[in-house]
Amino acid sequence: MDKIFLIDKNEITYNDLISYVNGQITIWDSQYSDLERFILDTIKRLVSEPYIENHSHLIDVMEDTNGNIELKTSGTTGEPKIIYQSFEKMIRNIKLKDEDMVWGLFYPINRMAGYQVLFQALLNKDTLVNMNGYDYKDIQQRILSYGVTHISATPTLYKMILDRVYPNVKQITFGGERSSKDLQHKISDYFPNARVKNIYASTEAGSLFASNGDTFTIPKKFMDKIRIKNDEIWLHKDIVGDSFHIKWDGNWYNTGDLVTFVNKNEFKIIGRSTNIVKIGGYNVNLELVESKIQQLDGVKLVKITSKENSVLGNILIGEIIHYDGYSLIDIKRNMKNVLEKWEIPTKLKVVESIELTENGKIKR
Amino acid sequence: MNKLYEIINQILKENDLDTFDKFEDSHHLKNDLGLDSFNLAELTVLIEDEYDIDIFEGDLVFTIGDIKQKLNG
Repeated sequence: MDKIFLIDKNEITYNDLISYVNGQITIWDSQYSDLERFILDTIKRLVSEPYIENHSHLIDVMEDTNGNIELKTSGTTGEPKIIYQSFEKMIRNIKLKDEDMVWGLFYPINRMAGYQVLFQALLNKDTLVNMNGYDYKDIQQRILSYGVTHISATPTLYKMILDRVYPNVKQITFGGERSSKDLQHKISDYFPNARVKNIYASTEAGSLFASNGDTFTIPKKFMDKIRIKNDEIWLHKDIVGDSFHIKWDGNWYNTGDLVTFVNKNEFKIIGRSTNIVKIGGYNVNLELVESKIQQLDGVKLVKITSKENSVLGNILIGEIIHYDGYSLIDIKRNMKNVLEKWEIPTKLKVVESIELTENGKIKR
Repeated sequence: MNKLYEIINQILKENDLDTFDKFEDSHHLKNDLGLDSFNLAELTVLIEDEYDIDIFEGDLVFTIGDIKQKLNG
């Protein structure tokens, strides 16, 4: 039987995909989901030859394409930007493996992170199971029942599905948000057979570097294309997609992602420069505060924002989702053990849900 | 003003400072009660939630009496 390419509303095989690209079947039919139509159409658009024989022919033809893909940034901190990215740039870090993989698609398909997962599955002739748009209970069920082996998602998304253990998953990849080693360890308890990867990617440039822990080094091939200036990551024009929305400083683009060096070459990504606020004279990183609170027992998800205040300049406001059996008072008490005085939220409230972006990041 | 005193004692207690059975208008927030600027920020937030007034906005507030004056408009 032909291998399944995509599981969403239907199960679409690689044969179905090639038949669609060749114009032998149509999908403009209500039985197909928006995602299925979008994916099949995107692939068809990137194919320049009239007849595709098989999977490897499809990949060869796509690698030769000049077609650009239109991408939107997630708009975590403002209006989404539109970037045009070549297929070649988008697949530059995808590895071909012999392993049989079943990928969970957690990101929206029309964003860089979603395309990375799609192309990862397509190039390796693996199965892709859609999770985006499903509620957390369904996602948990789908990971287990479809035997998903590979997941790539934001730390926030993992936190929301840690009510059970997933022995079938072989690799979990973190991206899109700050993630510390502590958090990775905590999450990997629920994925006992999975190796952990951390990836740094941006919509503007695609996947740039990966590591097995929470420190990164700039890969040799990007030595003259990625620069760290004033603790921020800057990217050279050569590796960035086309967009009217990007502000250039000469040939360089400031990602706004902040790093801190742990030694001469290795650094950690500690958040975004827009998430630094001054509180009582101290610079406070909202994402760092979140990750410290996240370590505490009982905390499922926490969001920290800032608000102007007449005494300190700014104060921190926290929203917290906690697990049953824990109280806000206990969590508050424990915060004093992990936070500096100026990092303790002045106001903290328990909430049922925290709004996320389409990509699964905390919306600020 | 009982609610105000409750709020102040709550902050004192949470920060391991001595609470008061009776507050005097002359009590200085920093010197007598021992509140630092982080505690005062918390105080502004809790008072704002209760009375909808930012007590430190525009005026200098040093004592319990200053807060009461501000709350009484």
